[in-house]
Amino acid sequence: MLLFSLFDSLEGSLPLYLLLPLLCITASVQSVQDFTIYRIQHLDIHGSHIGSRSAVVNMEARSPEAAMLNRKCVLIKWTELTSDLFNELLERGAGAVLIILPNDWRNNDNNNNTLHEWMLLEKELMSREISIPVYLTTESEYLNEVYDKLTSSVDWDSSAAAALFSSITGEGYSLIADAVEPVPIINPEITTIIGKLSGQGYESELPTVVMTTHYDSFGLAPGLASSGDSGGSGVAAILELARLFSNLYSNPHHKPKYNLLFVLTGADNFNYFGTKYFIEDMLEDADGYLLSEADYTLCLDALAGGSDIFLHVSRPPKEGTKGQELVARMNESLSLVAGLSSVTLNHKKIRIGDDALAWSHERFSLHKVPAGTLSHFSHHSDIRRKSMFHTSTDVDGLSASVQLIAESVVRHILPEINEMDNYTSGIFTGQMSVHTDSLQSWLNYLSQTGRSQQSLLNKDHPLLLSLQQTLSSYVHEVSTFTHKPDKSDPEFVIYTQSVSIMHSYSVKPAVLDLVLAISILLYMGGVYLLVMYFSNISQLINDVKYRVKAKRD
Amino acid sequence: MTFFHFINCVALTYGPLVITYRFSGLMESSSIWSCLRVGVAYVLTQLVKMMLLATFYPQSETDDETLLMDFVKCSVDVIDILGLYLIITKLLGKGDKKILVTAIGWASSEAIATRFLPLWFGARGTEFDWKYIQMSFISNFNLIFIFSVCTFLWLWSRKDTSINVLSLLGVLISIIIYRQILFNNLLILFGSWATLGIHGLAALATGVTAMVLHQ
Repeated sequence: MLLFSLFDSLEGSLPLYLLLPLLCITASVQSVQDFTIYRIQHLDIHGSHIGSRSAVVNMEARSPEAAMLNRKCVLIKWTELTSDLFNELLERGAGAVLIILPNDWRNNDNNNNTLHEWMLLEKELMSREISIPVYLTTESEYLNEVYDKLTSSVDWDSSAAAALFSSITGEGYSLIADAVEPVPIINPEITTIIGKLSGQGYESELPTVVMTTHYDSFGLAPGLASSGDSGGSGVAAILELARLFSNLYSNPHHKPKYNLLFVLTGADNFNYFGTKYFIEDMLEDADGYLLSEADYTLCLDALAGGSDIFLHVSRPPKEGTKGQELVARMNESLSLVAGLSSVTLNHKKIRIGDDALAWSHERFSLHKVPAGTLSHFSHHSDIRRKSMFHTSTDVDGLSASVQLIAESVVRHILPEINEMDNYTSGIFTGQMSVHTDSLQSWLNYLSQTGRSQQSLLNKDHPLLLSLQQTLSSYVHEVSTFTHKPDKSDPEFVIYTQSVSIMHSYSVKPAVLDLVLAISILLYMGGVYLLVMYFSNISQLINDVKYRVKAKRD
Repeated sequence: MTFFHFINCVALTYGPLVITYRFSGLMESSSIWSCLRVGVAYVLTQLVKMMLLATFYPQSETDDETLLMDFVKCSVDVIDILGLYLIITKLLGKGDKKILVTAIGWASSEAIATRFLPLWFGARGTEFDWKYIQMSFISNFNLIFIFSVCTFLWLWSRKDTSINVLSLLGVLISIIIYRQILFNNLLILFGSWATLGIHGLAALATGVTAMVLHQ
């Protein structure tokens, strides 16, 4: 019986025994360092290749000063990188580049000059084709340590012996990216979210005002692009406008005889293809008249950036058109809004034959839909528009812009309001006023959410769902379009592998193993001698022992 | 790192065992079966230890009790001493090679059971770490400790050992049992290489003491 119970308990403890080596294995795996890496843009627009064309990294790390860079991954800090240095690395045949961003790159308090330089470098890196993988990552204690070791190991002034020693035991790092060769994303879905407020009367006989913006953000690395101003502020504004007007439309007594469309498009950073898809899909749809017969389309670009805003148009609005009326209302309403000092009309013709468009309203203008873009940027080529480093937002400017848009639109769609006596202070005051807090919380949320088009290709993405849900809580009719670019002749191609994990292993030069093997052989020789002459040693110890004993006696 | 590194570690771990077995005269007297019997005794002892650990290992929610944990873990090693004592006094017959056979058999079994898999999975990995070379060195030191313990136990089992020597043996064996606590704390204080050096010196001192006591 005792034997039986012993075996029972043995059986129970055997797996425990098998587990012991497993514990050792997991322990050795933990010493590997992992961190997230963000590959820089990789896309084709109108057939031109942009960005880093490759993703696989399985190389040893080197500092930029190292002698040989062939098939090595160069580690460099963003703050030390310059355009010239980058070109030099490419010329010297670097296998890959890993750029370490400072910890506070997103909410940096750097002076504007540094920020401007960063954006220039960002633009420079994005405007060309690079055949090797280029990754960004954020600073960490571990990466700083690696970087310091790599830069300090290049000490050419040290003595020959020290150089030899460091070449044998020198600390090396092997970097392996969890990535495969990037491939074009097949069937990318570009989602457009449309909310509609129907006016009083037959919808199809009523005029429409359209307000659009894009939700996607752009920057050097798609995985890090989440600018609150560019892309984020427009979304916050559209949602707030939808809320303001839903209040107005909920009152059946003075429901305007106008339809309002609130549109959130994607892929606008890729030459406004999201807007293009929206226009084409909308015009083919049964509701197409809403757009083709629209009085005006207001495209909201970045608005959270100050008290001066610009209305960019392709051609000045013609006298007597509804569109011209709306633009005029905007100037009239300016006095009602405390936080804004000017609205400047900026007229820029579409350059025929130029593939790249300047503003999203140009997509509408190409379809003869009257449109204009509202932005705090005075010029379309402002580098902040497509920078992930442009993270500052001015919620007061956004709030004032929203109020201006709301006041001018409401004057346009309810003309009788202008004759009211108490109109001097505007409609959207008091209970109806713009919620700055709500705008701020949307800006915060959007600034913290990665919003590159690469990450928003699924219409069930949580961000898209939450935008849809919020919009539908204000306006009852919300619909979504998903558009897949033409497969045979895509206007733009985006690639996989935007975000991956990198594993870093500390390694030693192969010659160390050889040196170790020789040392171990010598050590074995010592052990052999010890065993062979053990009796002699034992004798020697005994002699000493007796001599000590004899002395004591 | 590489397979080469694994081979280095294996050579360092098992080389001294093979050399001792080969050149101390054990091979000539064909003691392989005795060594295997010691190996089986080692496995049985470990099973008993594990059952005890599984039963009595204290459950701790905090990390502050590492000292207590170490103490319990080391205390279970008393079973090892008991096992070795039984082997020396009961399992093997008479003969002056008793200590040698027990030590080699025990140390080899321990080296195979506790070193091979960690080396196989660790030393071959991409990540380089000096700890596998250090582990192999410690394995060498353990051989000396086991030799010493066997000598002490053999002395203990003899009728003609004086009471002074017996109490000295008791102290020495206790120190050997609880040495891991000391080294764990040294590791925190001085780092791995200095601890390894102290470990080596301690092994050397114990070995010389054993040789002095053994006549």
